[in-house]
Amino acid sequence: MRSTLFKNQSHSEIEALWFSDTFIYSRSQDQNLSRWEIVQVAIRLSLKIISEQSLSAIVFFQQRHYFLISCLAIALKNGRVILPPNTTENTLKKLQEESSNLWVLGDNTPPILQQTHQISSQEIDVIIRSVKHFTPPFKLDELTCFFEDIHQSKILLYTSGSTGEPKCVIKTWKNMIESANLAIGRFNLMTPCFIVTTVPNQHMFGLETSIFWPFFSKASLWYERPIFPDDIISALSAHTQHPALLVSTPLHLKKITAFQLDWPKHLKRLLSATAPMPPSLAQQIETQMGVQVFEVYGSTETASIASKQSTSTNLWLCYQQVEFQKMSLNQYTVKTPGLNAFEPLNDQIELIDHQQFKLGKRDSDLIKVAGKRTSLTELNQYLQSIEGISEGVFIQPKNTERLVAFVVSTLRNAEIQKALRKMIDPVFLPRPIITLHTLPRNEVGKILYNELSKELVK
Amino acid sequence: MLTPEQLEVANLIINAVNLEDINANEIDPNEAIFNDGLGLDSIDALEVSLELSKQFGVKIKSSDENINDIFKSLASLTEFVQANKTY
Repeated sequence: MRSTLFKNQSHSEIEALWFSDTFIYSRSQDQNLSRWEIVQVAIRLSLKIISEQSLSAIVFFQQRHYFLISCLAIALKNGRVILPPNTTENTLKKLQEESSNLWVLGDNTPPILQQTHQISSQEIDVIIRSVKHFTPPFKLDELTCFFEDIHQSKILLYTSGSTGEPKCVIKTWKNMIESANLAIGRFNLMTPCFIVTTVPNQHMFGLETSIFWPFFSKASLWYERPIFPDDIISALSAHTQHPALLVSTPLHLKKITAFQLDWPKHLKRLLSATAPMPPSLAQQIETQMGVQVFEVYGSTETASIASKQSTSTNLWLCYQQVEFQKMSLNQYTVKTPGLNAFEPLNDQIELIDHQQFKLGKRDSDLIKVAGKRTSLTELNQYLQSIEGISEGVFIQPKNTERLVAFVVSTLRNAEIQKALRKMIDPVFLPRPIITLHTLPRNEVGKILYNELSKELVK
Repeated sequence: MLTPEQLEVANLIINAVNLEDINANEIDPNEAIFNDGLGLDSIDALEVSLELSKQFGVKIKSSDENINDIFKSLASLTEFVQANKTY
């Protein structure tokens, strides 16, 4: 691992980055943490974890430092870190049944897990204080051994379930670090910068941008996940010496742009993922915030593999060392240094050259009604363009070809039908239209189609 | 029974997040608004906070107050709005 982790860096450079530089910024300066301090806290925390049998741990922490320290400590014990797709009782119960030695790291643990071994932020705080009181001197050998020890440990993530049941995806630390290196190259994170992210740690995009990219680059990080605009601005203002990068999602950004805000001048770039960003929103963000907007393309299975600057192109530019293999027309598998084997892409793509592609439609997007084909994305765009509908999606239920539309709207169904009739072929008209208060979404704003199907059964 | 101030905030929430079939007077002022109660999430909180800033000039920021306490119930949110409104 040493070769990939510390390549092209001298001992003094590594020491400066890992030992002297602040890595995680908090509200008060004496709580800031260096990478070395994080490692030391993780080593001590791991001593508290009993692992005579196969160890699994669910890490609920939202704060970046608690989360990272927890994951490192579990990895040191060769345990599996589980990042559940949601925190419903059924999901947690299933995970509990599947794991013989389950630990839970977090505060306000859901009731169903209260009988498991617990580690709270208070316990980590005690260790942080003692490490701050006396920090062991920096030793490169110790750091190298630390990463040797953890690089085969596993992290279990789940697909969002927006295209079906959540599916478990297993990544080793080595996989995650190798993937992170590609993004670090693309976004130039070996030049110091300051990252603030509004996404949860427990999904691939959050795990990459809030943990792996900063920890293994020269980027520093804000310790919390700010939601409200004022919190985001005060987070960005915590460290103004380096250019700042904000990571968020289209859903969150759309809400934020509704506020009148003064964005700090050192905010230079914005990264968005989890759903396509409408070009108009990207333009609005660039103007309001004075940033360049980049979208990131990837999936839980592949991690991120490409990016595009949203206002200037619709072509995705792959990270270095991303290879495609053609399966059939527009269907590809992908391989990167972070993947053990070629992985199928969930979306159809059109390769422009070996580095650039256009995104096509997701497989489950193409539907057929009465022998006619269309794409759900296209239908959704029509639905969402109707004045009075704030959100809307079509689905094709399993037991029938006829489509159903779910909307959040102030209109009567007859009015929606009338508007749709003007835009789409009658075979695609929804029957019925179901009005909801809000569309069910996961934490990063992806629509949960499973929940919609349940709504239909009701 | 809601106080007039609570009623005003309740209606603001209902409009902000489109809870059309809920009547403001049906909301228990001391019950949870988010997750367990009306089932609102963090993006809804953002939406509500935008409306509060437009109508009352109240800025909600999780860092200087305990955000969970403010958003705990209609009663606590109304109290916060009354204490911090600028118009």
